[in-house]
Amino acid sequence: MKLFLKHHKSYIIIYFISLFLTVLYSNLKGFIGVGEIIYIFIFNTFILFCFLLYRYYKNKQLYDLFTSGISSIDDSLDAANESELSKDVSKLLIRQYDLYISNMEKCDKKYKDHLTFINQWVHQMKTPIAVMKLQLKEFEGEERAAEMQEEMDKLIRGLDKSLYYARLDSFQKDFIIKKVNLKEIIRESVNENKRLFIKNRITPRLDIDNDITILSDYKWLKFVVQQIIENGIKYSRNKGTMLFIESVKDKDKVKLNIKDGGIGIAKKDLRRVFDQFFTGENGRKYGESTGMGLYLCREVLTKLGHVITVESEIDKGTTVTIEFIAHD
Amino acid sequence: MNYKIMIVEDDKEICSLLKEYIEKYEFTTLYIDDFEKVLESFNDYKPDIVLLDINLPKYDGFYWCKKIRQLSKVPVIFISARVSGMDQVMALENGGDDYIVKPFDIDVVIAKIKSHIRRAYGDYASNKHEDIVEIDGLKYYPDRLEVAFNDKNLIITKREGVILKYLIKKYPKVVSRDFLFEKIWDDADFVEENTLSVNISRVRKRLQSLGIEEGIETIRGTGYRINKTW
Repeated sequence: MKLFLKHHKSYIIIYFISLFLTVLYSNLKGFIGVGEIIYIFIFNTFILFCFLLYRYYKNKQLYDLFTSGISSIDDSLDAANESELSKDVSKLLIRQYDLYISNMEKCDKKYKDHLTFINQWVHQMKTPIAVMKLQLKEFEGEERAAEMQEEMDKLIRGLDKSLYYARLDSFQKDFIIKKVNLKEIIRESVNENKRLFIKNRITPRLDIDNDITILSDYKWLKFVVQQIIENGIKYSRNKGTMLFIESVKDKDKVKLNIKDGGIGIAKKDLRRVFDQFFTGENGRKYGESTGMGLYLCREVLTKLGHVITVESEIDKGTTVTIEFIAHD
Repeated sequence: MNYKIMIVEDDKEICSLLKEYIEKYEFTTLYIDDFEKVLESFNDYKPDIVLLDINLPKYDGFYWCKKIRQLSKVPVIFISARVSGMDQVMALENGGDDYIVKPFDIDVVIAKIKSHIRRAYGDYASNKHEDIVEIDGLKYYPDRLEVAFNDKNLIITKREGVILKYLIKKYPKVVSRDFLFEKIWDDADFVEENTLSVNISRVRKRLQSLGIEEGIETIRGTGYRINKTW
């Protein structure tokens, strides 16, 4: 109502000015007396009032929309009712909506094409790596070969990371929640990184009860644990000698602590480590940091319903904790 | 008996490398050139085991596996870069017996081939001729964990055996510490670096008791090498 009056303010003002001028002129010329002035005033204003009222009810829906705003796309299609103004506004909105949708579809298609390309590309890159690995087998145990092997391991890990990242969006279709034995999955993750442990002279230490089981997706959880182990090793290079992985059972919760004795994370960086593309001070110091690892970890864990936290002290080390609901 | 293995993989390089390695274990191999006639080749060659890629020109591996299944119960091992659970399920549902993800470890491929042959043909014959690692009279039998030199012989532990095997195999090259460490790594109880040094000195002592003095030399900062003093 307020908005309606605002829109018609100038209209009403013009009406009163012209009414006033007409009555003043007629009065000066002596055409009409005081009684007629009041009569004209009341009668004309009544007509104006009826007109405005009629107009308001006709466009009520539109004005309601103006005041409440559009909260969903469907709202914009409701504006149409019998008045011409409403119809025109509605037509405009629909047109805008169509344009918007077609733009969205274009972007969506581009994004999907890109995703398909990345997926194909990563898979194709695995064949040349397999070839190199086979050829390298001839020279295993020799120093050069070990160095090349290390670089190839980096390539493989990088490719895996991008594959998991590309799959994050279709996560709903790509996970199976099952009972997972915590010790088994950790042991496997450690063993798959064995070369990295050896190369950096870090010894893994496991302290996990044999019978702890949790509900999770094996593949995704393993990916996350491997990321964290990788970080732990990377940032304790030339510093720590152990990577402790321990479980703490607390009533219905299970905490998994992955603790390194590395360089630690600066306080100012700590709360941003899960941000995408954030590399911080350590990333600059050590290089080869993409700012994707921990971001992916948290995204995946949140989807799986687990909680990840990081504690760290400069020069003492970092502890990453994943919290699960225990399953008995 | 000499088992026949058919490799269906469109990457030439992988094919020839696979062939090379598999043939070291006295299998015969055939790889496919014409991917429209996989079934014909299968019929002509009558392989005992099939290694099958999923991404192939024309039809994919699932298709060929189904076709092969209509003719034969031969073990089919898929080798593919696709890691998703769905692909593995598809492979096994279409009649595959096993699934290996690229980039693979050649030892795993060989082990799986052997295991499927044992399963399908109930035959341990492919292991009949025993592995021997040898250098000028110093012999190591991995299956028995036995070392022999000048009619003396003794049994050693598995870790010592692994170290000795690679040192002999690689002679005269130096074998890096990291590599030996990786080979004695225990998947259940992870070993400390010190374990390697302990085992190296044990092997030294074993060689001593066989009459070989200073049998292993340490190359500082790199690794170890057999020192042929005999």
